[in-house]
Amino acid sequence: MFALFELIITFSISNVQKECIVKKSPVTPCLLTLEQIFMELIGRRDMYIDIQPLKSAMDSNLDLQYKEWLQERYRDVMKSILQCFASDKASESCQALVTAMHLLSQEGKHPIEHTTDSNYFPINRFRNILLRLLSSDRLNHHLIMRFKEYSAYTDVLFYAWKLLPGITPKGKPSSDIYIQNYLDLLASIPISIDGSETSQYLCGSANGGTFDYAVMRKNLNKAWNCAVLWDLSEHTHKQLLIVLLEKIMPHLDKPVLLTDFLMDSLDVGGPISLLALQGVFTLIQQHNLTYPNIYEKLYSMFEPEIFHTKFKARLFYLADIFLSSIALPENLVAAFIKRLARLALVAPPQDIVIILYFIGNLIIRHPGLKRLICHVGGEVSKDPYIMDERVPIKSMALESSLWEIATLQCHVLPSIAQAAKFITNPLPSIEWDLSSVLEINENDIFDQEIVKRSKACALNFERPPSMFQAKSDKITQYWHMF
Amino acid sequence: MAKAKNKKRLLADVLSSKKSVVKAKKENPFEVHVNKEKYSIIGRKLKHDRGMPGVSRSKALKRRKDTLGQEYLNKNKTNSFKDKRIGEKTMSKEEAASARFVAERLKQIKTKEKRHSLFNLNDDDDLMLTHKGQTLEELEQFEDPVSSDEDDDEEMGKLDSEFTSSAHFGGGQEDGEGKNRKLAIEDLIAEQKRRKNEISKEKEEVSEMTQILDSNWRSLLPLMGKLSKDDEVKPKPDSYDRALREMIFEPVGGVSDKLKSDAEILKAEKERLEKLEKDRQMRMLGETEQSKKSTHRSADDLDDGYYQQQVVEDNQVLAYDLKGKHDDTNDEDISEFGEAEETKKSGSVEDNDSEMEEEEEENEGTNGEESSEESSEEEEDNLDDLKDESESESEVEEPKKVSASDQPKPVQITESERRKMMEKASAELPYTFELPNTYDELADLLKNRNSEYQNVIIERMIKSNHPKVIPENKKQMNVLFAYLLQHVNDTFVDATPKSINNCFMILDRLCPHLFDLSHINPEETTASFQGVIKEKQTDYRQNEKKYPDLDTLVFFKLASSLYTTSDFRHFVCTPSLMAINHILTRASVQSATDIAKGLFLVTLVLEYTQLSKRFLPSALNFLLGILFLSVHKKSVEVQRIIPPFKSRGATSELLVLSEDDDAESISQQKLIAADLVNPEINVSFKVRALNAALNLATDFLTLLSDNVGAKYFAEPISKILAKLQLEKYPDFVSESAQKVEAIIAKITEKKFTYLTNTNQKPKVLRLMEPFFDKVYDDKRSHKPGNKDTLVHKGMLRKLKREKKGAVREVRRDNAFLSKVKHKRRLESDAERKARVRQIFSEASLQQSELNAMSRKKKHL
Repeated sequence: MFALFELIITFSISNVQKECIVKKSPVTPCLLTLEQIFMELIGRRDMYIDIQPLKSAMDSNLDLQYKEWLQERYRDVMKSILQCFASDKASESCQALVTAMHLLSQEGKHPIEHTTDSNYFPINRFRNILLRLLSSDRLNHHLIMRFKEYSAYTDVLFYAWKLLPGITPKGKPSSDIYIQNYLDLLASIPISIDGSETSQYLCGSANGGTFDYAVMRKNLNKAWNCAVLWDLSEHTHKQLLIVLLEKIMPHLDKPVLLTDFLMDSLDVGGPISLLALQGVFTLIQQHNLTYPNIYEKLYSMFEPEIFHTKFKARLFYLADIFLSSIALPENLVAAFIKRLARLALVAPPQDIVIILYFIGNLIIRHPGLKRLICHVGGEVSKDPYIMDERVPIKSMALESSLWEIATLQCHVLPSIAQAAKFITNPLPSIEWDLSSVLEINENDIFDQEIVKRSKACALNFERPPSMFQAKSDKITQYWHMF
Repeated sequence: MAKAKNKKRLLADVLSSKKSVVKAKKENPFEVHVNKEKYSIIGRKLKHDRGMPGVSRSKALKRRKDTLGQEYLNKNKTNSFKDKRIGEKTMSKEEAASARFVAERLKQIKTKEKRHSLFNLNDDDDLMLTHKGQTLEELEQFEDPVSSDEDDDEEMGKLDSEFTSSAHFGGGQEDGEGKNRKLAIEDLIAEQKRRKNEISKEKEEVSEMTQILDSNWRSLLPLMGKLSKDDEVKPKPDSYDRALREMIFEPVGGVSDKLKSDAEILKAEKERLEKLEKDRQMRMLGETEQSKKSTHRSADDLDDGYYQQQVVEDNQVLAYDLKGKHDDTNDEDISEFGEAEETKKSGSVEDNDSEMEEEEEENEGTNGEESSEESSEEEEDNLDDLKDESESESEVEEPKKVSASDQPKPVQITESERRKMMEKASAELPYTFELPNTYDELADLLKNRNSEYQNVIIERMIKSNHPKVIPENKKQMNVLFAYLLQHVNDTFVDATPKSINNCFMILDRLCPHLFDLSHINPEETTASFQGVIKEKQTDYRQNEKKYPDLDTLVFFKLASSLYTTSDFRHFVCTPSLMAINHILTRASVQSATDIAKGLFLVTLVLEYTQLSKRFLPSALNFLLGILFLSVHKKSVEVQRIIPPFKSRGATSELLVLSEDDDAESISQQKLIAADLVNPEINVSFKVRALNAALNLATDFLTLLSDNVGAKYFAEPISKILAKLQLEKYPDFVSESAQKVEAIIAKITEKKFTYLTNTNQKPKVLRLMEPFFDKVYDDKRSHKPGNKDTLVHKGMLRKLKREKKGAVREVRRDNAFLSKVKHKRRLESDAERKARVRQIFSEASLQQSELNAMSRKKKHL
């Protein structure tokens, strides 16, 4: 009798939920209720169907029918829960994920079908969850972040990696959003678990299967080989490279295979090529790759636009590493110096400081380049350096002089004017620390200047008869204020 | 142990102090021991070259005997005798007696219970102050008339010449008779006595008379008193007297100050301004007065300073000196990068500061005077200015009126109207205003008034509460300044195309008052202004992509009106410039307002830098961007432009004239205030924005034309200029473009001079003077290390030495003690021996007697 009552409730609530989804009214209460009911049902093994060879003979059994019906409802409910992932509200969709994972856990502990495996994991349900996570319509960043918490469970992690290659579409994926979600997921779930003694299991007992790095690595490579072949937009390309550099690269079987991909990326320009450059750098450094034109590529990356990207600090960091060798030819380094100096003329203040430090460091490393700031004398009608030349060695930078820095001594901001004075002073023997200035932004500089409390609060001494009639006023020259 | 030691030390101290009192004995040459020196070294001080080992040893021994030996004697004894007799052993008898006497008196004094009676002289019979054996009491009576006649007595004691001539030598020869002589002598004596009596009598009379006179005088004294007092008391010098005296002592022929003629006043004013201008230029270069002064250098001086001086004189762009060109106090962060040497001393910095402050005070004073002078005639002045300005405006606007029909018309106020309004305002408004206590009060006062009314209100408010009249108001003025800033802010917060002109008019009128207020207390107002800038920048940070509203931008303009923008580093202007730079770099250009605001900021940058001739890359970049926006792009070739402008997309062609735009008929040249709030782009705006950008480019390039890197800035501009389709535009635009081209051509002609290191030291000529090696033997070690560790090391060394000394002392103490013990044992042994011997002798005597007895018995 009680069961019947329950049935009715279940049925009605699942209907209510469907309605809620359609009407976009709050679904969290429904989700919580359903979770309660099915946790109980699964816990009581009300849905458990033992597989029996003589199935047809038992057809008439009412109990079995009831169970089958329950299972059907359960699948139904699961489906609608998964639908809730697409909810507009972050809290609701998160709740849906939590509910799904709870039910999954309960089902793992109390299987609803006959199984011989002691560490039963409802792999199909999990697969469905993953598929829903990788939506192709909407970005599921918050859900993936939530899912990341579950990936602390060893079995969840293991099955996630196991399922991933299967899920990864071989050809062209459905949309950019899908790729973004996929990469997001890839970036957030950990690759290995440290300290396997404390490993927890979402389903099954603690003595279950262990996490095997080799298997995981195989899966990762499989998934990655599919993903690399996708058509990528600019944004996803960038994201892919970031995931690759920060996560995947050390676990790949044959990183050298990436060379082609990275070469193509290098030619794209902007931040993508910068990221690709970092990849190439890793290959050169750790996998013995030879790439002859790497300096040309690096050289071509110093464009004025770079100051308006987030990857500026990375570029300077990389360039500092690339140019750290004192065995580099002087004309190459000189070309870099001149190019940087040119950029400094259009760069925002914080970047000018970086460039000045960097140029200073390069000159300290290559004492022969002192001729750029300390020439024997003479005049030229035109700067010999050719900015548009793509090959740094041919840019005639050595015949030039650092007039740009001399110009910067007239920069409006006192800190920069001061910093640009280094070309007139004897160079120090120790290089400047670049890392301290790499992450500074405009606001930091502003705050520094405000705090400085210089004593000079000099006032104008000519009383303006009115604002726009003062002698120094320039506004009236161009504007008609009233 | 420690206690004993302590005690010993105490005893030792007493002894040593006594020792110092004892006179230094003449040293005995046989006691002196000289340590021979093998080589004598000049300048070395020897401690132990000579000494008196015997004396010092005996000294040490004596000391031990008095201290340690004494202790040893008292060892294991519970009590000891203490000799309290005074001077029993140490002093001679007389000394001891006097010391005892002193002690006795002291004791008496101490026994008196009341301590304060000690100084009560009258109370005590025993103590009495005397003078020449007489008590002071006796002396006080002054009754000794006779004593003053000692001279007479002396005279009397002597024999007069008559007597001596007769009585002394050969006196007896006259008569030859003894009787006669005897009589004569008796007469003489009688005569003498008589005279004595007479004289004493006379004196008595005289003294009596004087006493009578004295008493008479005393009786008259009260009467005399008043008169004499009146005479004596000097009348207090009043101002007249003082002036009189001053006039007496003043140099007679001095030249009085002439009344200054107008020309002289003007000259003084000009000099003042010149001085201020000089200061400003110095600040522009980041110099201070102190650093500019070059110290005297001798002809031999070949120091690196030599070159620096020359550099300063050259005053070239590339030649920067190392020394003090920039205010070091403010550049800590950079100095580690830019400057290899730190030359400035903190002292000089302080000097500078104090100088600066003084100057400011001067400024304040003078300006205050000025303002008070001016304020009396201010209204008229204003009117004159207004007259000039409005005339010039009307000239400019004359042609515009015809064409700019689609534009929101700027409010045109003729000179007469303005004067009328002004008069009306001054007639209607009350003459005094209280300072507002809250901002709301001020806001209520100024609400819904037009600019002239606001002008008059603020003017009168300041005038009637000026701190020169009421000094307490100085702080209030700062508050008023802050309120006015808030008022400016609120005025511009909700500016619409219709009200914008009025807003700027209000700002225009308020500016002089803000200027006055900022001069009343510069530091506080500067701080509050900086606070405003900071707040505005923080607001802007919330959304970097969006151009801030006018209520932010006007403050940058206000900063340039109130403060000197040319300073190398300024409390307000540097942050303002940073904020402007930030906006121009990051905010994206989407609409007409963005372009107008950007151009407004670029104009401000020009205004900020017109004197210092420095440059801001983002301003030049913005101008480049505006030109770029006006260029028609072909789809094939991709032109590159630096962000915040985009090289592709809808926003890359904002200012391009479309096919059906009739641009040539547009005659309005200047941008107008309404552009700042009107987001729509029309043909007129396109033309005017381009024109303004071109003109600004000309001005910027002219400013920078002396700079080394001017070519780098000119090059991209000329590239874009070539792509402009100028034939579509009205004539004045192409004229502006030609001006730009002219200045670019001028810049391109210039040549690059290679950078040479100006700070390289010249090679020093070989000198004929001998070269001294600077090697000398210094005993003190010059080990590097920081001060604390060195001090610590020194302390350790001292500690070690002290420890050694202490150990040596202990060892000698032990030796002494053992010696004493040994001596005592010897003594006791000897005593015992003597006793034994005595006993033996007694016993043998006894035995012998016994033997003798027994023998006797035998014989018996």
